[in-house]
Amino acid sequence: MSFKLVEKKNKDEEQNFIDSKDFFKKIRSGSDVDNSSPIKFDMDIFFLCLLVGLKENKKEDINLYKFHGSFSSKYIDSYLNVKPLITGLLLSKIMREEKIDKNEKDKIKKSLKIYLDTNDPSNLTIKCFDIMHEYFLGGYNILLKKFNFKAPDEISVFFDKYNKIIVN
Amino acid sequence: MNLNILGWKCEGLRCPDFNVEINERGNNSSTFFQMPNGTGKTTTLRLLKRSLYNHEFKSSEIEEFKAKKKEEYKKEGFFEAKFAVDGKIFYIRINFDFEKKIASYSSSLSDEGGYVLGFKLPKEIENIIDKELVDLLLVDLEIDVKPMFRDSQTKAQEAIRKFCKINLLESLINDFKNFKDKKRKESSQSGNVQNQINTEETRLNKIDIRIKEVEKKKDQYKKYLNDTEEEYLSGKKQLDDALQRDSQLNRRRQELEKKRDEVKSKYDEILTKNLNDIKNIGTYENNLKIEVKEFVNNLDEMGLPEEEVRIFFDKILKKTDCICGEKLTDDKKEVIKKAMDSFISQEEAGIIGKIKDAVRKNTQEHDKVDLLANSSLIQQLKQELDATNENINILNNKALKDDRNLSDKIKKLEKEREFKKEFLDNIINQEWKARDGEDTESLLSLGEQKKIVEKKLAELSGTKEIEEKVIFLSEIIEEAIVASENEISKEITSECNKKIQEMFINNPIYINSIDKHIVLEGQAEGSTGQEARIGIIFLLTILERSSIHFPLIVDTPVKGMDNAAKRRTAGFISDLKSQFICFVIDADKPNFTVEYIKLDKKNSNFITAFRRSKEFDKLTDSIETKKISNNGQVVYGYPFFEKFTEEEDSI
Repeated sequence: MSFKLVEKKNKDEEQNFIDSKDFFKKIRSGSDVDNSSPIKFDMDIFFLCLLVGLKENKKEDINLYKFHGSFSSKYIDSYLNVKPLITGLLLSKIMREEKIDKNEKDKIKKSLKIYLDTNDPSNLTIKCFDIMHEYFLGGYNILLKKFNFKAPDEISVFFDKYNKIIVN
Repeated sequence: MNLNILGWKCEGLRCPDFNVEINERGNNSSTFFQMPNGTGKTTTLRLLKRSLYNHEFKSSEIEEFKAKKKEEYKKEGFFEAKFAVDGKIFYIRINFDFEKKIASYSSSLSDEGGYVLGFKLPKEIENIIDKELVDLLLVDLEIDVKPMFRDSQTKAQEAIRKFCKINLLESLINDFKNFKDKKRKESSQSGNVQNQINTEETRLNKIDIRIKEVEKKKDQYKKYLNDTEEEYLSGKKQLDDALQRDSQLNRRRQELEKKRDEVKSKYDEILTKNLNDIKNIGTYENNLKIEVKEFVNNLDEMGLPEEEVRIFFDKILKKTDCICGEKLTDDKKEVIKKAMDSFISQEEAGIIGKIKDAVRKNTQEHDKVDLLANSSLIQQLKQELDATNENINILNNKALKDDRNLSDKIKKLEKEREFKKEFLDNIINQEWKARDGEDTESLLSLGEQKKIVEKKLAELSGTKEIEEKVIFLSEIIEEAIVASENEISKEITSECNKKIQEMFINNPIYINSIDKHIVLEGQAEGSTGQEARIGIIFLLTILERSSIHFPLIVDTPVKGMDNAAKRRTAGFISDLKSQFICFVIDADKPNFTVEYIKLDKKNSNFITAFRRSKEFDKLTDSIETKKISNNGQVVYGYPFFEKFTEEEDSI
């Protein structure tokens, strides 16, 4: 399984859609105006978008988008502590969506078996990995709208808007 | 095999008409050629280079060789170089027609004259000499050595490949590839398959064209970086000096720069902290914190994970008797297995356990985070940083008010150089991606695309077996190239360092390694003088390794060197075995040629060439060993070489 960033929307329904790499291009470490950005890796971009998707409970169909090639098959070192939190949130979202009651222990255990893969470094099955990418897409689409489909020029401006989205 | 330059003759060109016989005294091993500035050193060097490979002269270039003085202008001119291969003399002549702005070659492969039209080298060297080799043999130390030391350039590697004949291995790979292509083209297929072959051939052709375009661009960018380096560095230095000039402004700027660095450090810190805080879901208030807490609470309420239960069943299954004392039959085991499967596994329990731990730590143990407070601090520090930068800019503009044009020019140059470096360092080396097309500028990707298309073509044309064999052989040779390059580079590094130790008595700068470029020990770059000396040591070391003895012709061999280094260079040259010609001006003589003559064991040549004037003509009145034309004189011998000090105005 592999983490991927989105490149474009297949049916060009949204004319203003920007490649996620291009959206973050000017605020990535080494390319930003003050050379101060902490956004170094594709994994940072993926996480920032995913978190917005999870926060806003917004998913997008992965089949409607074209992705870049894989940037990693597992969480990079700086995200190992974040991995269980993301897994927990994904499982919680899935169970809510499947309307599994907190008292239905057997159903919950069944779900855990469907969505957890103990042999994969991400701990997720392909199905769950796809759901994670759906939330990533949902989050990225929210960011695009919040930034009026224009790539941010400065990391300070980006974080100002981003923090507001995350805490509100 | 020995290749030597014996002399040259020129008429009707920008430089005076000279007739130079290097071996006038029967010895051509070392020659010091003195020409005042503006007499045509660069012109001579350029034309000597072009005499050794077939150069296509552009009309603008031909204009540059034209005599500039009205009274000296002629419709036609020529440059004739005389060489010897193992004692066999040959001539190459470049004929200029300044009216038509065309240039043509004629060649004579014997000493009896008899020129034939066109460029022709003797058989012994025709497959060895090419432009790349000539560029390494005829060097302007100020210009040509720099690319050997710069990380975006590959001249040192090219030199090793050329002189150590590694490129012969590359040509072997090419021969294999040509054979494979020939076989593929010979096999004609019918109908649809042939159409597919044609489509793939077209694609292959496009890839080849693109590779050539990118290679050309690569060379142009390398040349640009090399050509503009001096201008950029000296311009930067001039601007730095201008900034230092006004002590009050300078002090104020230093204060502001200190403040900026402090603010920048805090700004970087809060940005990094902010990203880390965002990652710590549960340390800040939002719906995700509530959700993840709820999820963990629910798991707790249900008693998940329940790994102990599953382990309990697992242990029972391994026993022959059940805990109730009855025998465990296969049927009973099956019932237990089914019951066990409804519990989560030990590994799954591990994942759940980690989720619970992480959530507990972030929601209960870790300090609470206020992302909005982070935002405020980020904005505040950013404003402070921008304001400080703006103040520094105002001060710089004030200090550079008299150098505005230079400042703009250097900024522009800096941007352009960075753009080109990015191309050379990254763009052409980007990994192949499945979505790459033939329009990519990555040479790695184009190479990979070419392999894919060739493989497909081999399958379609039924030449898969040949293709596989060629790939197999090519890979072996490619590995051999890398291994031999590494080994030779190590040997050359060691040989060069021995010479450096002898030549740089005080503060020697050693070579750390030679990969694509020469990497100096403990420093990114050397001074012009240091790089010139190490460059010449490097060239001579690889020349000594070659079985073919080529001449080395160097312009400005001691420029930028201190007196001690000039003396050591003189000593170094006196020990050389291959032909060595260097161009000097009178300022180079103290501590260099003056020192060399004391060590000279080879009865070397000292030649002075200059544009005629009344004053200079008087100087040579009593000298017999000279050749005079209507506007130039070539005088042989050390006494005159030593005496000659005056320089004429530039032509």
